[in-house]
Amino acid sequence: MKRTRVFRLAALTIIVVMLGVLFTACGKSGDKGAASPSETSKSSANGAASPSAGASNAGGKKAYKIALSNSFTGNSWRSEMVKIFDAYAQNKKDAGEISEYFTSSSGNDPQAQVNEIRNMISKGYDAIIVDAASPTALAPVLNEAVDRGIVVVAFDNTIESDKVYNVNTDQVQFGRVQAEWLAHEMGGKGNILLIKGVEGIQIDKDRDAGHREVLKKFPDIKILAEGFGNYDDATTSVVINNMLSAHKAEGIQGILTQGGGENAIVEALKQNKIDPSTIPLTGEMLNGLFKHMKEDKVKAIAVSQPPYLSASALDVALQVLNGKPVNKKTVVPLPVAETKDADRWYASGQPDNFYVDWTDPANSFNLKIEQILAK
Amino acid sequence: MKPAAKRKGSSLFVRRNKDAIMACVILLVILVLFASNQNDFFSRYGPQSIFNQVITLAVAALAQTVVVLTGGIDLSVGSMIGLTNSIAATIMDPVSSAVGNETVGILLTNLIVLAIGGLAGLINGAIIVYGRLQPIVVTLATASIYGGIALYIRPTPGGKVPMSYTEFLTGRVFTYIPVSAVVLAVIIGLVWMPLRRSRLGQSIYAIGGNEYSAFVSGIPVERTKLWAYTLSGLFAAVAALLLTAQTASGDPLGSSLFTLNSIAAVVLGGTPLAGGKGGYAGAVAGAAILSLVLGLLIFWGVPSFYQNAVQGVILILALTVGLLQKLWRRAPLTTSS
Repeated sequence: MKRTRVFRLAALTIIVVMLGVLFTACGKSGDKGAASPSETSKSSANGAASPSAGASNAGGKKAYKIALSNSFTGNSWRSEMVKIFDAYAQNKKDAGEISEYFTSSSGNDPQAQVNEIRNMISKGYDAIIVDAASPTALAPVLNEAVDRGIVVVAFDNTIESDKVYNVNTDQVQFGRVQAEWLAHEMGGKGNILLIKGVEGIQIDKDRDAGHREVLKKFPDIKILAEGFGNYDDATTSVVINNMLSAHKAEGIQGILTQGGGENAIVEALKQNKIDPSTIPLTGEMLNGLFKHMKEDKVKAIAVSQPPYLSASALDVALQVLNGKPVNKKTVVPLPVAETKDADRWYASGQPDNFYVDWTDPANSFNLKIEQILAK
Repeated sequence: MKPAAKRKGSSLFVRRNKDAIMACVILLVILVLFASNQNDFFSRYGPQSIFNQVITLAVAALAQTVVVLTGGIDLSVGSMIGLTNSIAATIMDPVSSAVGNETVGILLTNLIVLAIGGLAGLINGAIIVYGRLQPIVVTLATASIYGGIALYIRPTPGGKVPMSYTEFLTGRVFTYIPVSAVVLAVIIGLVWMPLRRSRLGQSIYAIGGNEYSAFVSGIPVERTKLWAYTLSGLFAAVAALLLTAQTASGDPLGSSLFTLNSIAAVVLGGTPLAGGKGGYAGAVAGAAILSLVLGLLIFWGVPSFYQNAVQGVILILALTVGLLQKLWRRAPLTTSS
């Protein structure tokens, strides 16, 4: 009885070990299978199957290994940002400045991103570029990375640490640009509706501070109503319709919105029998807004938190690696476009939530839109 | 494979932990793969990185284990971690400056947070025992409540945690030994093993095995369940304190995944959800597998679209093999037990 059990246990252990080996083999071949088709096109999974590959170029200038650690992937901005990074890193790889690059998205779980970065440290990347899940949670592990000689560049959600290079735009300036344009269009007087973003988050506070700083200089501009549009069409639609039914009679000369709900605003104006081309509108560089600029002659200004911040962050990382002096804080200029630029930016065939600023106005990253759109 | 004498000598240990063998073998495979893929595996950074990745989920898995062994389930583990993590990150700095000594302040904060965790667990247990309600429903409800309180305390992620706290708990002692490894050893050796041998531990197993038999044998079922859920809350708070060290901040919602991952770790470690058998050794292995397998995918450069899918496939494979092994074992011995 006991003996058979021991035998069974031994047999079981052997089977399990064999399964384990099989599993490993599967894992490895599965990995290659996953990597090879994308390698022939363009992907982040380059040469990673063999750990020693791509350490550095033989002779000549040193080529670096770069990793991008992203957190959340569930919106068009993040996915576009990752695609821009991949495309730009591929360009740099073709140019021989990078030997290897890798992109990973951990989801909105700080512990998962901490672990992801620990493994990137172990893997021996020369630089890690981060769009953080939380502005504070990654500071310890990133400081650890810096202490081990890795260049860390954070962008979009920057990190409060003096060891890390931060790349971002000035969101107060974002608000200023929008409000100044609107005030100018309105001739410095009139009634406006103000639609803010998500209550309580820093970006909303910054952009709102910019708006109010400018509006203070124009005492003849009156805010009829204000509300939070959550940067999406569904919420904005409710807010703008309530505002219009309450204040339409008083006459509206402008709509100041941080962005994200431009479609809903244009539709609401049409439903309320107001020609959208008569009311200047602010917004973000979303394809939907440019569509309305072209089709409905909407007079608008679009500013953006550009998704190419990932490419700017890669530039900063390479500069640091190549020994050039770089400030710990890099402020990327905001891309701005008006109705007259609509032809240049509008991406026909793309969804309304596509960010049209897939490269900076001068295209200094040398990207092609096909690279961004390719899956 | 093993010498016969040793096999015989360890047969009790093996028999006790046979459900965990599957997880241990998978973990061994993963560690071998780590050794060949992690460039700094054999440096002092390698073990530090590995243990830091494993430790929080391993402790969260202990919180889940004590409840699952009674035949219950705790869906509020993640929320309790989020709540105690938020509280720890919020009060650690004020308490330290009020006391005037950083170390004393940190210790005091830890005690407060552990008490709150225990209280949260006790509330779970009290509702389940005295309300005579299903654990799955009760803990689902309290998970929302604890999550709500966490959001009230800390509406956005942040807080202030002394650098020394982070550096101590994620660092190393004697140059080579990761503090996380010491913590895990303490949890296993000084918490789990005495608990397993204690009267309370035996009662927990007995209730999970057959609640009615346990009751007629004179085991205090209600008190044991209360203790099990209280311990679950306490261990969740320990996990939260470790998470606070790793992230140097509090996040009210960022730890929600701990609930499902802790259950997965427990089941992967060979403890059936019906309770009564299994143990913590397997759960640690399960937690290590879940935490480390993503690292392998990063070493191999697998795009992140596939990462979650691969994690799920591994989970299902492991569970299927465990199930097959159970069926195969039962077939020739239908009259046993």
